[in-house]
Amino acid sequence: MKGNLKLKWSSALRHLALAMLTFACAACGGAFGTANPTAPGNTSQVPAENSLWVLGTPGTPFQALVTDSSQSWSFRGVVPEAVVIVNNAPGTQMTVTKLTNNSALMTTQLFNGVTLVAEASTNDPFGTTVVQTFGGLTGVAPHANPDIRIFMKGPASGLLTGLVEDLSLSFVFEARAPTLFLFEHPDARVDAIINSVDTAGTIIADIQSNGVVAVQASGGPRLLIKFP
Amino acid sequence: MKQLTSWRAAIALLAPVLVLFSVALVPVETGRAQQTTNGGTVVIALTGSPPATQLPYTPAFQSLAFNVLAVRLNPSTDPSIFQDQTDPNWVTVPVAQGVGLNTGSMVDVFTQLAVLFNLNTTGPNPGSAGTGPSELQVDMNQIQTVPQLLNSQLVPANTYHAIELELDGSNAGTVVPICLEEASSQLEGCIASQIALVDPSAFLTTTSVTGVSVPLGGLTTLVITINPVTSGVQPFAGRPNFSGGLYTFSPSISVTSTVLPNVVNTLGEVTGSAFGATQVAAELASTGQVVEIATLGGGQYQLPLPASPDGTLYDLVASGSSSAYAFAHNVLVRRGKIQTVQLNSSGAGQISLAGKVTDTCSGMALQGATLEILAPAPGSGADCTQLPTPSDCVVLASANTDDTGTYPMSSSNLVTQSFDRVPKGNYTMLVTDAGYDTVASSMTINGGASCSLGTGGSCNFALGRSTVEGLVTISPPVPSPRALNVLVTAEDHGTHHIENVTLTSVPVGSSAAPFTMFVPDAANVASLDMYATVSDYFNGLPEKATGHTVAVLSGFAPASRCGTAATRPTLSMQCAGHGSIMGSTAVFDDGTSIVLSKDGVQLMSTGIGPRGSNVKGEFSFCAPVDTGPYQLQRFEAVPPAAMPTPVASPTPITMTPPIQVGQPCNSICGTGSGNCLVCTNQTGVTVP
Repeated sequence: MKGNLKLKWSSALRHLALAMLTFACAACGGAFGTANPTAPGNTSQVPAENSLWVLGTPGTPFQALVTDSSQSWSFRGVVPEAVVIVNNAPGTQMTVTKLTNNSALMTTQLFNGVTLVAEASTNDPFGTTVVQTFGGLTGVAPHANPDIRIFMKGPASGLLTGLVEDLSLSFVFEARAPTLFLFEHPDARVDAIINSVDTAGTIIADIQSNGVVAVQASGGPRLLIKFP
Repeated sequence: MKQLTSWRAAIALLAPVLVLFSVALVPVETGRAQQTTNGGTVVIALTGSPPATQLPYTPAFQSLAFNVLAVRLNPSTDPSIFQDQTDPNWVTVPVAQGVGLNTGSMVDVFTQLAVLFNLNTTGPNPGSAGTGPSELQVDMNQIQTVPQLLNSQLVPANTYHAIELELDGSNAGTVVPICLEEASSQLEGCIASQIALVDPSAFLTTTSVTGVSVPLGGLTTLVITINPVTSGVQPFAGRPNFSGGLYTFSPSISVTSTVLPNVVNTLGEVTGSAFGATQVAAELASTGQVVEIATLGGGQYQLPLPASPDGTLYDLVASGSSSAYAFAHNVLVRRGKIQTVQLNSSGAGQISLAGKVTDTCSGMALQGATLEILAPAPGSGADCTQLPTPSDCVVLASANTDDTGTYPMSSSNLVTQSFDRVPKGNYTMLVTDAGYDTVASSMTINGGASCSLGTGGSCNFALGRSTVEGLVTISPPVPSPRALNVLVTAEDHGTHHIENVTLTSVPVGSSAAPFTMFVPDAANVASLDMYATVSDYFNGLPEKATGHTVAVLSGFAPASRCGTAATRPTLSMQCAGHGSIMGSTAVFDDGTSIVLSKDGVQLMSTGIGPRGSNVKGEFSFCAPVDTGPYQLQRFEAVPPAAMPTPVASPTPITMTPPIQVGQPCNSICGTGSGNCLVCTNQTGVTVP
């Protein structure tokens, strides 16, 4: 009984802390010179974002080609990793190839918001999976230019929430590290506000611009990062 | 296209799960030492077998995978408990993190965020990205050889009688049937179809009269058998009446469980002392693929481990916060057997190991490179700096590089032992990255780290490579409405060892596209085989089995370091449709596989149905129809690390051309005639 009471208090405090952090997050939506000082972006006006999870045997390296109807990105990563297309154009296709000769499991799951859209697995050496939204695409779009990415790479498997925004739009997210945000057609500058929900450790993030790491930051339980 | 789905693939499916077991326990501080006050641990594994082919009702399947969300346990003996999913005594064991990214018992904050940020979560614009259901795809063809670990979790000590397996009702799984026997049906095979459940809202349930007993502070194993077809109840609910339509199943489950030290007969157990260590990891021998991690209490460990019918070899690695590694090599785990392995270690100073991996030619940071710390198995005298790495080397720890080329990546602590605490000693550091030269450097840890092949003696590494530029062509030109992607693969000549894969896209109306890929330089790989496959679509959905011929090129010479190969290869593919081959071999065991080759280049491999299964001794392939014959050959390997080698003469087989049908229809690719191609099956192939 005492344990349960302690758990309830702990849970309540966690909820309160979360609420405070997220209100603070909302309130500082314009802290970086953005145009949305009190109500971050036009979040309520945008559709759910597409995201990809690459799961399976931890430590399995992979390469991915992600495209929607407007832009595409290619990158390497390591299982497990989540990838979110911010401000994505309609339609998404993700082709992921294992980069090991072993038979480790790799599963890719494509989500729209919190809805699972497609799923595929392989354990072939250098096996490939392809997942796409309904109807697919007619081809691979031009490579994103500028190519702005935000990579939340720690804490391991920590549950993170927050906001990714540019001067025009903002998007909330709930994700586990590591998560890669691919920012489609960013408006001038981007920033992210990241809250650690489970305080699993230090939040580590960077922003890449056209393949070069431009900004690195670490801290917590709330981390702010912006570029330029 | 390279489908080396040998028995090793089945074993490797185990790898991802319990490595997260210990991680999952960390947030609630429930290591084995604390479990006595909270409950006991249940280790859950899944097994089963694909249904026997019973035409015309049940076709054979290239793959049959169910999407598993969780297992639920309840101590009630009342059968009506299955109708009360809100009963507070239900205990849920979800798919492990890493295999899935579920939130488990975490608070779902997405809804709160949605409120705070003024989102409409139920309307047409729910907004932004969040975590969703994560699933483990369980392929019946894989788990028939060895069970697949689902997860391990601390649960209240109790005896559980009601057991549920939760599938994703709206996305229950995927099935790839071989080409159907009756050509008149004109149903295309070797394409993926979704699985529908007869009752998508119901969990798969079973009742255990004796119950699954989870003692206080104890460890219980629970193996759930998935029966895709419920004999006598629902033989096979139905296949679709059009190509690519839903396959309907009504699966059931049954269970066996024991409390250690007794062992379910599909598992074995290793136990012993590991004083000085805080955890013991079980890896598939010589691979570094972690299957399970035990966190220690009182210096003792218990590892229930899946085993194939002939037994499975594991490496065991014990590590601690201030001790040297203790490890054992090639521990043979047999079903239903318990053995003791002592892994006591001595104290040793440790350091935190970090560094960077870059491209020698461009200086760019390499993301996703893998670093492994190796040591020779006790008494083996193996030189782990040799390439290829001797099988007597044990992987003690591994890490990956992040987007800055820095290792260990923060999330690398999901992988075996952390680089944060490497004990003093002499090791080999193995650095690998697809398309790059592998480096096997001797490494000394003694207050700091030095690597003989690192940059300036440090443990920063620059990897060499060369470049291949070439062209892929497709005939006829890519039809509207979508471009076709082509995967180009380079592997060591005459072997299965793939060096790299690259993707290129051929636009609509075009018949060619250039490709560029990195491969190791000539000083490291003398000769390469290359092959290319088209990623075809059926009814707009991407398919694994291509309908275009596979282009092969044998004996390609790579360039010197940082150079580009003088020859520019052209790899040509034609739309020919695909087909399937079904056969059997009389001589087989856990290490048997059948390899399909073209012009001396091995293209795909498949395992054999194990003894006691519904499909014992049987194999099947989906492959594009080619004008020339393929070669089928039996390969054998000693489990689990040895490279399979041919043991009998190859059997030539020429694929039967597909049936051509008129519009309206769908086809795996277009020949330009306007007709569609429907694949055919060849049965009764015998491989010596």
